Amino acid sequence: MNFLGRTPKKRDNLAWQIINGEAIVMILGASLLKHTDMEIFNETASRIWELIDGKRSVKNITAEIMREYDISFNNAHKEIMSFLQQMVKKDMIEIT
Amino acid sequence: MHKLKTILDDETRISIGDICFSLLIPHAETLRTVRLHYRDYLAPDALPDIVISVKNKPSAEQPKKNNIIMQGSSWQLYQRDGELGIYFSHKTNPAIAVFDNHIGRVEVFSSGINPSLFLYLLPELVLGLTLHDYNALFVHACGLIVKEKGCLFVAESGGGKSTLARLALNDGFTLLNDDRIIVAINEDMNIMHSTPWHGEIDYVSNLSAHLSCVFFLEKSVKPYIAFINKRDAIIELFKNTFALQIDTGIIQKVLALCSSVVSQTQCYRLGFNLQTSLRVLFDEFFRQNSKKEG
Repeated sequence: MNFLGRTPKKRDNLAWQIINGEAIVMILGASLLKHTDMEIFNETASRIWELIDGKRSVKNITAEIMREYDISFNNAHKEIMSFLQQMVKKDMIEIT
Repeated sequence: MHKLKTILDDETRISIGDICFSLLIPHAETLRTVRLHYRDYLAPDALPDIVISVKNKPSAEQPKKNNIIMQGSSWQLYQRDGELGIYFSHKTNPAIAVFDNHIGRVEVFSSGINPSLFLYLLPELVLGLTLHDYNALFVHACGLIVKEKGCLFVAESGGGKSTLARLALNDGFTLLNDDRIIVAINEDMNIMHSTPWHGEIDYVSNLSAHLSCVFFLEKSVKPYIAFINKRDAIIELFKNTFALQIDTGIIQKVLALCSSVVSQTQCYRLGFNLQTSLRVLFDEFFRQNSKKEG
């Protein structure tokens, strides 16, 4: 499936902060006894996370990462898709 | 802030971390108990930020399971029909505290009075829901003044805060509180405030100090003080705040406040044991620090 035209969007139950280029993401639990899970991303993943704003498509994000890290389309796209798949699996984003 | 200028007969005002609570309790004996408990925090002339008023009416029924959003061993935070409240289970005097939209006004319904509700549980939970709106954090920490510097020692339960406080008192340091400290975050400086709610050390002093250092405690065979990176410091601080994380807005705000504290304050890991001389440890630490600053 071609994801380039699709747009990732962060879920509503998240709070996050970027510290020295690394993202700390808090995930508010949906269970009765609410608890907060936490994810910490490395620099590249944090930048991808920042670019997910519900408006940028996968294509836009790929172009931005290519430009910022001076890497090829294939490398950028591979990195982004791997990250997005993890985020979907953890229910931290949806892709519209 | 409420405009109640004149204190009422059945009212007690207390100021904790610069937040003024007005407690309206129409029960003389309970009011006396509350005033005695908070004697070091009485603030009759302060204007209330939060008003907690007791209504001598039976409380409503216990909230249904699907209305409960968070709970502790003796309380349940619930939301039903737009109402946010806390149900306190008690054998003879269960109570419900209902909050207004901004948590500035709390009405407590109970057919009898349970004094312990006002001595720690209810005010602490109110602070957990609201303190971030005052740009402050409620931290599970010991507060000390060491060499005229306000120092926060953060650890979870059993992490050594009270032990450290005991060692500190033996070494002649000033103890604010061994368990719960409020940190007020400002642009130019952060202030740590003592609270009336202590841990194993039955001693609190209603003091405040400019926050200079934050130490994250670890038990260690060999005492040490080492840098902690900002990311880890923010995470540890966040984990040890008492904010009731009922929505992402609160989490975002608390995370941002933790980030502010860490960015403005030197943060370290501190390892110690029962034999550690804190005086020796901090003498060396602050001496090294002055050398670096010089």
